[in-house]
Order: sequence, then structure tokens, then C-alpha cells
Amino acid sequence: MKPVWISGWGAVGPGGFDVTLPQTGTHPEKKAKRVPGGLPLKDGFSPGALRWLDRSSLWWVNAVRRALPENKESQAGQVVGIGWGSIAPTQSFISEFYRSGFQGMSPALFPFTVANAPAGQAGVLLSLKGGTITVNAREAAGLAAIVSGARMAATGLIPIGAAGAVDDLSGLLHYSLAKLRPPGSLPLGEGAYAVGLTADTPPAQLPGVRIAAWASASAPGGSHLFPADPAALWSRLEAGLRMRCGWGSNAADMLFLSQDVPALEDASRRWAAAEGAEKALVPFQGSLGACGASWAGAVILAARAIQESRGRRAMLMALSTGGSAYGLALEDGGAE
Amino acid sequence: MTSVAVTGLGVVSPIGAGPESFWAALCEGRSGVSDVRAFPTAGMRCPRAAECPPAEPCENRVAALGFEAARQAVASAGLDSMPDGAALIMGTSVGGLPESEEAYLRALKKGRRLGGIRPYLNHCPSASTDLIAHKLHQNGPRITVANACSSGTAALGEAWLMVGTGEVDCALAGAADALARLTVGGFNCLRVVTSDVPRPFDKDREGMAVGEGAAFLVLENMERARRRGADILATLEGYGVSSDAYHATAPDPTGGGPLRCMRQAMEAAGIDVDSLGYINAHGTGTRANDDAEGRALAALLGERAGAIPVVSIKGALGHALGAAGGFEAAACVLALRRQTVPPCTGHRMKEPDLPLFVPTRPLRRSINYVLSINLAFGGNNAALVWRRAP
Repeated sequence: MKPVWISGWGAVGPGGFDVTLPQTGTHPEKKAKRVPGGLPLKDGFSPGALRWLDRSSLWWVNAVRRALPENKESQAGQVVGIGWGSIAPTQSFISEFYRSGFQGMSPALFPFTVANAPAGQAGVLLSLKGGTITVNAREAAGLAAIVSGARMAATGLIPIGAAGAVDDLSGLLHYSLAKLRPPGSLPLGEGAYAVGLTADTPPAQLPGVRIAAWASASAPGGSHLFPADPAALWSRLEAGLRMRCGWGSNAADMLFLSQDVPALEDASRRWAAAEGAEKALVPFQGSLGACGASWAGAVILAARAIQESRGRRAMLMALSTGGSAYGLALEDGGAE
Repeated sequence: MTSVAVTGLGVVSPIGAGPESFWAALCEGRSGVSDVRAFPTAGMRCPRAAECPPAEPCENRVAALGFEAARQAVASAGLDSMPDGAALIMGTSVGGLPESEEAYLRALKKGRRLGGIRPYLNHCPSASTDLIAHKLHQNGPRITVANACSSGTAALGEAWLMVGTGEVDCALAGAADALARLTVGGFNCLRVVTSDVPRPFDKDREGMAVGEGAAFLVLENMERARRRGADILATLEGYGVSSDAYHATAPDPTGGGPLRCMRQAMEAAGIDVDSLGYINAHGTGTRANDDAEGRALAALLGERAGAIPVVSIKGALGHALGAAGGFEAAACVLALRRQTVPPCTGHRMKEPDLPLFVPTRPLRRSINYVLSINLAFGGNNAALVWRRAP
């Protein structure tokens, strides 16, 4: 297994092309965190190339082109996480069918109903010829994709690439999720976040951020509910991460845990307190919004903090409805 | 990488449920493609598809088909249940789309009074994986690969990485997909559906037909499999992935992307083309796919192109989208087990521009390695190399 480094990042989110946390407070607003209008997302592309692009694909393409070093693009692979999938183009396509039957279905729209449309579009528009897969893990999609990307990079399958996730709150999705979420839940989010990954050699920029370990696990429960015992999953993930990266207890100075709904927020605080890591807890979902993509945004926040010497080690552990859980440990490339 | 053994297999297909009936039908050259029965097709250009019989009642059809195949695989591996910590890795293209499209159509008819939420939540591909996981009481890593038509092959490849690197000892990996209006109608609007049966690599091929079903395999660390006395059906030796970087739906006509991923899988397996007993091709039966893939295969095989059989089983099963890679993995494992190359059902006349050997009858021969490939929308290709059990 080769060491894997984070070599860059790109974002299209509520903060535009930037990913930051507010200096004070956490998440006073409960409104969904949407991608603002007016971003120059189409700059640098020929208008014809973007004619049919859906929002998810356009956001992902922009996140990836910022995350990858320009001279490496043609060899680069992609691992794309999707939180909720291609629901907006799918609904448009079904609406066409409803209005005009099978004869009314548009061949231009059909390709965007497929979950891997953002990956395919980024491949075409950015000439990315490396291995490309799309994974789906609802609220944990961003971390699931980066875990898969790290695995593929460490085994040499994609020596360089971009990994992250994209979510679009358009259409019925917002309605469905808003109905399902209990009062007091964190705001929903949308956007695209990608990190560049490179195996073997540390990237040029120093200090490099190394992926120290990854882990995944799951728990039985309702197919559309968060796990009933999140603490048990976090403890399993933490044990798996520590075993693989050799960290002692409380080694992480940044801890990212799922806080999508009030029960998870309470559980995360209790679990962190029990671990003596309450101060390390980073409440990022209030700023980026709660969605699968924002977990890739969390990896960017952690990596930037390490690069800027605001922390040396980060542990991220995401849970999704349905019971899947993914963990990632990041460290300063110079850490013992 | 440690050696990865296949110890269990389960299949639910339009031509038979269970590996035995699936294999028998494949070798008989039976096609499951017929007129669509799943929903009304008025106005559809070519209402042809390959359908499975109704599944056990479940929240979504992909999960129902997938669970039955997964259950068969676990049982055939001689396991009472999913081992503690085992991974579940599923490829699916449509996920719960049949249910979510139905719910959305109902909502449109009622003037956007949306009704229940669950069908929309099922839209996410991972919802189907989670339903299967809960029925199997699975507690290890879980991945849902949604790579369109290469989903199943990529899911098995990800499982190979996890077992081969020791991340897990055991993985249940495979794929499931179900017919939906959107997919059957969508391929029709692209004008790539046949009015007959798919005829892969045939001179007169006119298109594909969407299929459905599920296939799952149990992959285990070889030492663990031997220790527990499991019957080893085959081994998985290599995985490759590539991107065409060419077009949203059309394959790169040069075949460069598929060629790169086949070479990557063979390099991982440490073999050259002389080792291949046959190749399980994507072979949808469309002009564009079979031309591009045929060029990639011809370039890969070189002088051996006329000697190494190239088979697509989509004439028998239709194109089951994400599940195609699962079916094809099952066919490769069974071919290695039986030392028989299945026929390319539907193929009649050689395409003069493609120098490939496409058998139309089962071929009994020595097979040590099989290469299997899938191409997908967006040019997301994936390939696997399977080996005869030691």
C-alpha cells in the first residue's frame, strides 16, 4: 500500500469557491445552505460544451478543476460521491414522459438521469482518463468517496485523482428531506467538494497532508433512519482508525462527527466528551449544510487547518441514514 | 494483494434463478428478451426488454431481486449468515427508480400532492443496498457503486481491493437492477433499442434491450476460505478502471478507454493475452458500442484475435445495466468451473470489420483465465480477471 496525500482542493458551495467556518457562533440560521447564484462556473469552457450540463455536473466539474494540478489532469481518476443522486434531472425526464408519453422523452436529458453523470461530464470536459467510479452513501457520501479514493490510490489503481461529492437540493428532494427531518435539525446543504489525491510522492506544497487511515462499518436499523446507537459506530470506527494509523487515544486535535439531526448532535457531544475530545469537535454542518457532499467539505476544512498549522491530526466519522459509517484520519505529513 | 477466492454465488435472472438454471439456459442459447410486461408501452418505439418473474414483496424491486441473489450466494458459500465484519458492496444503476418514478407520476396526476415520502427516499441507490444489508444483518463496510452500466464490475473490483489488501476477510459483492419506464424509455429515445433480440458483434445488429435481475458473489481471503473448508469456485485476480473522456453516452470510437482498463486488469493479474481462455465482452448489440469495444478487443488480442473466443451474454439476458457486471461475473465463474465457454446468444453473422472469434455454441476447452469488461455512460469502464480455482 502506498501513502496517499491530499494535493489540492476545490469547492462550489454556500461559500462560493471557498470553504470556511464562521469565526463566531456555529449555525444560527436554519435555512438550507444553497450554492449562491452568479458564480463564474462556465468560465474557461466553450458554451457549446456546457449546453446541456445539469447543476450537479457543472458544480462537480468546477470543484475538480480546482482540486487537480493542471499538468496531471489527463492521467487523473475520479471517485465521486453522490448524496441523493440525480433526482432533479430524473424528475424533469419523468415530467416529459408524463406530458408527452414515451415519444416526448428527450435524448439530451436522459444521460443526466444517471448517477455517474457528474463523473462522466468531468471526464469529458477536463480530459480525465484515469479510473472513475461513483459511489452513493446519502448523508455520508463525501467521506465514503474519499475513503474509496484513498483505497484506490493506495493500491495504485488511480495514482492521482480527485475524490469528493456533489449534492443538488433541487426538486422534490428538498421537500422529502425537510418532511423527514425532526425539528431542530441542522440546515440542509448542497454543492460540490473535491480533494486532489496523489499516491507515493508528497505533493509539492508543504507541509503535505497525509491520509493516515480509513475505516468503514455499518449498523442495522431503519433503512431511512440514522443508526439508533451512533456512539457504538463511532467507537468502532475510531478503534479501526487508531489500529491502522497507530495513534494513541485523544491524538486528534480536530474531530468531525455527524450532527445532522438533534439526536445525532446530542450523541456527538456526549461521545466527544466521554473521549475527552469535546474541544476538538468541529461543528461544520451548520455552515456547509447537512448533506453527503459537505463531508468532502469537512475533509477540505481539516486539510487546510493542517496545512496552515492550525492542527496536526484530524479524525472524521460520518454516518448515513440506512446505517453506513465511514471514517478517515488525516495528519501532517511530517507527523511521527 | 492476497489471493481472493470466490466461495459463493447467487443469481436471479430473466432466464433462470439460481446458478444452475442460469448456466443451463445460457448454454442452451435461450434469450429472455421479449415484449415489455412491467408497464404499458404505448408510444414506445421498441418495447423490448428482459424481465425477471415477480420478486418477494419488498420496499423496492432492486432490493428484492438483490436480496434473493445475496441470500443464495451466502447459502452456497456454506455460511449460515453474513460473517461478522464482512463487507457488502453492491452495484446498481437505477436503485429504487421504479418506485420513485411511480410515486412521482402519481404526484403529477394529483397536481403535485406528493403523498408519502418513502418512495422518493428509495431513489438513492444506497437505499437498496441498505435494505439488503438489514435483511442479512450485515455490520461491516458497505459501499454502493452507481457507475451506470459498469456498476456491478466496479463493485466486484472494489471488493477485490478490500479483501486483497486485508481490509476485510470476506465480502458479499454483486449487483442488482430493475426495469423502469425511465430507462427503457430513455434508451428508446436514444434509438438504440432493438425490435428483436440483441445480436452482439453481429453484422446485422440493430440495438440492445434493457434487462433486470441480480447476481452476488461471496469473496473471501483464500486462507480463510481454505481454513473453513469452503468450496473454492474461482479466484479474482485483477481489476482495472478507466475513463474515455469522450462523450456523455457514446463510447470513444477508438476503443482507447476500454483497452486501458483491460490492460490494467491483466497487469494486476500478471497475465498476457495467451493466458486468456475467453473474454466476456460488454457487447450490448448497438452499433456504436460493439464497434468501439471490438476495436479495443482487436487491439488487445492482436494476432490472437481469431483464436480467443469473445462472448457477450446480453443476447440472452438483455442489458441489465448495473446488474450486467454481476451476471457476467457469475457467467465467468461458472465457465471456469465447467471449463466451457458459453455461446454469444443472438449472434448469427460475423461483422467483417471486427476480427473477433464469436462462438455461437458452447465450447468445451481448457480455461485458466477469463477477462470480463463493462463500458458505461460517461465512458466509465471497468474490467476484471477471473482465474480457475487452484
